[in-house]
Amino acid sequence: MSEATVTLISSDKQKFQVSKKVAEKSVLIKNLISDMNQDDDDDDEEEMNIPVPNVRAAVLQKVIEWAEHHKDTNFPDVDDEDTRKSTPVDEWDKKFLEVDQEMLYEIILAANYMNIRPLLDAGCKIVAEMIRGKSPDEIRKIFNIDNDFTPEEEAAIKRENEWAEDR
Amino acid sequence: MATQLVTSGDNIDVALELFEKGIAKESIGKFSDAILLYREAFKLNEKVDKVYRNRLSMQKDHDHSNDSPLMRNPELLGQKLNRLSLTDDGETSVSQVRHDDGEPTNDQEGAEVEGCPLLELLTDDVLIHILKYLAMARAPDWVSLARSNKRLAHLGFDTSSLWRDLSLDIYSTVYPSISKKEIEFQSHNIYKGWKDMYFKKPFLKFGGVYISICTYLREGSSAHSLSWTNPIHIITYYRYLRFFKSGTCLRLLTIAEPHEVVPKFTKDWKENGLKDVFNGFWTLEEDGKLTIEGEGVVKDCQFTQELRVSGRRHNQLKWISSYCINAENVQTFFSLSKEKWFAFSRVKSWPIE
Repeated sequence: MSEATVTLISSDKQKFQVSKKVAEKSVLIKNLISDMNQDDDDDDEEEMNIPVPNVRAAVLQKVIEWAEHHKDTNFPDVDDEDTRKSTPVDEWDKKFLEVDQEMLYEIILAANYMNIRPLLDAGCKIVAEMIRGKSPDEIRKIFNIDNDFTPEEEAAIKRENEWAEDR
Repeated sequence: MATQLVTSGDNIDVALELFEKGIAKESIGKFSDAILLYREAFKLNEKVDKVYRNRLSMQKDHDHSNDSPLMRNPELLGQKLNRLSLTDDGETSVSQVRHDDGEPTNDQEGAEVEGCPLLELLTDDVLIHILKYLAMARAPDWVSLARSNKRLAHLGFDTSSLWRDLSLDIYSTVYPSISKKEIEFQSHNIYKGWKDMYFKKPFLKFGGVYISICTYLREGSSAHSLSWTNPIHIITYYRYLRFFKSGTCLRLLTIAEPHEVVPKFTKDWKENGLKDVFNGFWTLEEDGKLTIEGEGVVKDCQFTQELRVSGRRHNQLKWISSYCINAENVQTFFSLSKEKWFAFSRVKSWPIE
């Protein structure tokens, strides 16, 4: 029996045929598939079209590339916060995410939308790595962020919360 | 003396140098030396203290210098300790952690990413995800990111589930007998939510060292002294405490200053060349009462120290009592009159273990 496939359709209407196993790296799609199968369980042969309306083709292609690579990876339990937080980013993922910042953000957003926790975590860790040891001013420069505080507000927020970094 | 050659006024650098030397002397109790240096500094520039304090507050954000002397003020001491780091090969060194990669790289990065604003692209839930990860894994970066902008401040400091993660993590560690369910119950029945709880319910900090700096005067004259006045000795000693999540701790009483002790104050203290470090066990009660038990300077005695977690944001340990019980079960209390409270200082290079 050949491997079951599904077709993912990006926001700009491009179609990607992928194996069910790969598509199910996305919890969103996994749930969709199981819902659809419940509705018409006698029609397994029918081609399954799944729109992914928030993700454009270039990004969806990257996400699929990631899912193909990790087809057989066993990720730590989603609820195991400690392991998830302390695991460094996988070397392959690091290379894979060496893209321009805009693409990185789009991959993160897609991973968030499609509910692919390990990819979301990896992307967020890459962003977190950019600000390692940086001051608020340096962070503003890196991410092109406006400082919209008045000096008084800035002092107050610092005074109130700075202590929390001591642990 | 070289300083006499300089005319007073704009020679602020020389004045600052003298002022810092004065602080260094003061920190180790050599007050008369310190006064001479301060006087010299003020003679050169009467605003030297203000300039010094201004620079110091600027440093707090930028951490550029690594040579300011150790302060008696615990907050300043904390800054100093922040710069202590262990290098990768395990050798100890004092270095500028924040700026290891130097300024130029920052500029390059800034140019490289121009026109790609994080905030316009990422949604709140993704930003919260990043902030939460940082809060748990690298708290200083969490605080810096959240301080950079109003939206980030709101997400980073007002997201209840972020404080929930922090609270569950720390309270289940310091109060192992309390269930997560009980912590959750307390957060909204005793406290006004997770953040309120984290701000108010005592906990111990593991990413640094608690230091108590004690100074006292002892009168004493040498028989051979020709001086008219009776000399007074200023004695300074330090108590160091480091806690581990497993329930153990390290204790040290010494006259050695933090910059000598802290880099070596690890579980491998013996290999690092420290002496007289004692292991202990700690327990914390929910009212903040901390009990440390372990061996001490006298053999076959069980030493107990009781302290209370207090101060603004749980950063101090105040004395309650200190005693030992010997093999015959006789309890001896120690005087606390010369003791000072402990202040917490973060040590960046230490993993939280």
